[in-house]
Amino acid sequence: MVHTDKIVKDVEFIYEGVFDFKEFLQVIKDFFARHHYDLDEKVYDTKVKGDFKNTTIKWAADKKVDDYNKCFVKLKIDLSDYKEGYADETKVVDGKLKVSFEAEIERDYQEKWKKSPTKKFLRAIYEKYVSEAKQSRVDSDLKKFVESLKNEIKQYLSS
Amino acid sequence: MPKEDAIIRGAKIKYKGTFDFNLLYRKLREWLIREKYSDPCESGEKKYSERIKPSGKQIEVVWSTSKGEEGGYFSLNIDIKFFVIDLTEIEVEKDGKKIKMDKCEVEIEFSSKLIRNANKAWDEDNLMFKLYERYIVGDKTEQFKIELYKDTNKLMDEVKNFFNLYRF
Repeated sequence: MVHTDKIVKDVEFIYEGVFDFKEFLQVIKDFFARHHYDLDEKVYDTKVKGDFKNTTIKWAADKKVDDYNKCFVKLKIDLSDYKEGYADETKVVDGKLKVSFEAEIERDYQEKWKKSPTKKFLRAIYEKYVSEAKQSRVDSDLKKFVESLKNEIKQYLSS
Repeated sequence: MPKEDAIIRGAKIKYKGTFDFNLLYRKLREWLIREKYSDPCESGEKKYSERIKPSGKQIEVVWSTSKGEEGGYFSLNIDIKFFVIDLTEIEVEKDGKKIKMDKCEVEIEFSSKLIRNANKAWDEDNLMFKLYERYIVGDKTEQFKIELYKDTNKLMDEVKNFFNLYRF
């Protein structure tokens, strides 16, 4: 069983209006790429209801920080009650956008310290007394990363 | 025993609306054959079931397709599951013509894996196999993992293109 710590949860960003959804998704993808995360699309769900559409996209990104910590960031992008149209020959959407963020860190993801009770004990001592400052820094970096991502999205939609 | 590396696990595309399901089916099959993967329908689909329900047809299809590389040592495998519910046939007007379409909800799930020693040519307990894996085909393993990742994403893009969705 892998040891995972939830670092970020219940963080949301909401926006209502007209924007280029394709470019918006690309902005997020580029942000993850710049920070060396591997990004996968888990779900793409679209429902057509009359003239409106609802789309939910779930992305999961991960990055090995060092040989002990692996960061995971999960995004849920909900675009609801939207219509598609064109503005200056660019396809845009007019609807309600909600982006939900979650982030967690998997400790000892290679399971080097899980193989025996002695190693598990040593790992607990290591985490508590030797590397506490380092682990805090990794946690804090992940929180800052999610905050920066949220700001990047805010900036894009405000421009 | 061949070794497997999971590349994509259960990535889903869901769509609820009106479209031509048979056309989607055909396009995906053609894409796979064009990209040199095995025809998923050649010997029959891995699973095909159709049930008539009060709200419409329910269809479940499982495809398993693959292509061999390096003389069959590597096998790039893609599994695709289609799950269709509430399928009803309707008539829509397009360009002045009436055409038959399917109104339904579909979920398509993609999983891909790279299989090493797929042709079981090697005894995996043998030292020669370990040397072969590490020093002869080591780089190729990464290369084919990337190729399979890209192929699976391109296949998913085909589906999104069909539904006019935003590509990943």
